[in-house]
Amino acid sequence: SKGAEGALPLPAAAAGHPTPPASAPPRDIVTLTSDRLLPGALVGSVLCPTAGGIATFTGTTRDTFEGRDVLRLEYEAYAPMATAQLQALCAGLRQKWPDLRHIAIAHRIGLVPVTESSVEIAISSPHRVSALAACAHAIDQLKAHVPIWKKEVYRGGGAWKANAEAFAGVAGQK
Amino acid sequence: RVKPWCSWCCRVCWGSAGTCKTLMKIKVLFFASAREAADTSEEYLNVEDATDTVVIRTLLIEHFPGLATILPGCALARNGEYVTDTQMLTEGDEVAVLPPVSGG
Repeated sequence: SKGAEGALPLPAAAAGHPTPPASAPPRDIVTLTSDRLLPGALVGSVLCPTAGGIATFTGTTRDTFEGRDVLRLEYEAYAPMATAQLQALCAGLRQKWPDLRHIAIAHRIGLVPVTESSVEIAISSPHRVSALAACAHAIDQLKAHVPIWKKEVYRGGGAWKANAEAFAGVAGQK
Repeated sequence: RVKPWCSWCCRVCWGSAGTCKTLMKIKVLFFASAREAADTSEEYLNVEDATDTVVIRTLLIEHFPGLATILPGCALARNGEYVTDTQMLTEGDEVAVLPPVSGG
């Protein structure tokens, strides 16, 4: 059966979620937060006695771009639409991989220091193939559709970035 | 001088008899580089009835000339959903100007 509850409040990033029981319906946990995201912090929330594999993705920030020192990143979001797009992303994953158990995606907004995580994804499934494939697809889809923007701040300036895949698959865009 | 009462729209009428043009109020949100170019994150606009998502782009540049270079590369959202074909706007719509995204 397909997903599940909408966005749930995420406690402090380090705490994660309690492990859902085997009988729990599949959960889609999507979060926007200005709190620090610890790599792998979402694993606990997608653990499942029926899941044999958990795939994760951590998006971190580089400290240079084209020779310039990146001091920090600033993330901005159209929050209600970003949440809705992340929920739709989860639904899309379940259509392609119906055996997925739980999906958790958290994106940080606001100021993100270099080397800290900006996005965390954790997905569980009975066998590893689905979780791994879904995790790769999830970050691709996020980078194409979710209305979040990253600004790299350098000494004496800054630049808004654009993903190469921005708006891919959104009909009608140039 | 008495403002003519338009029996078609039954509202304040800006046109002469037979060319009724009512206005509707929409909210426009600007994000990231569009926010900086327009120098605002949120504005209300009064637009004519029968304004659609193509016309609104022209209106946005008229109201916010700084958007001229980047708006063609921006997507629009209407009430939180991507605009993928031409749609008519309605009173109270929330339109968002979305530069190419860079999440993740």
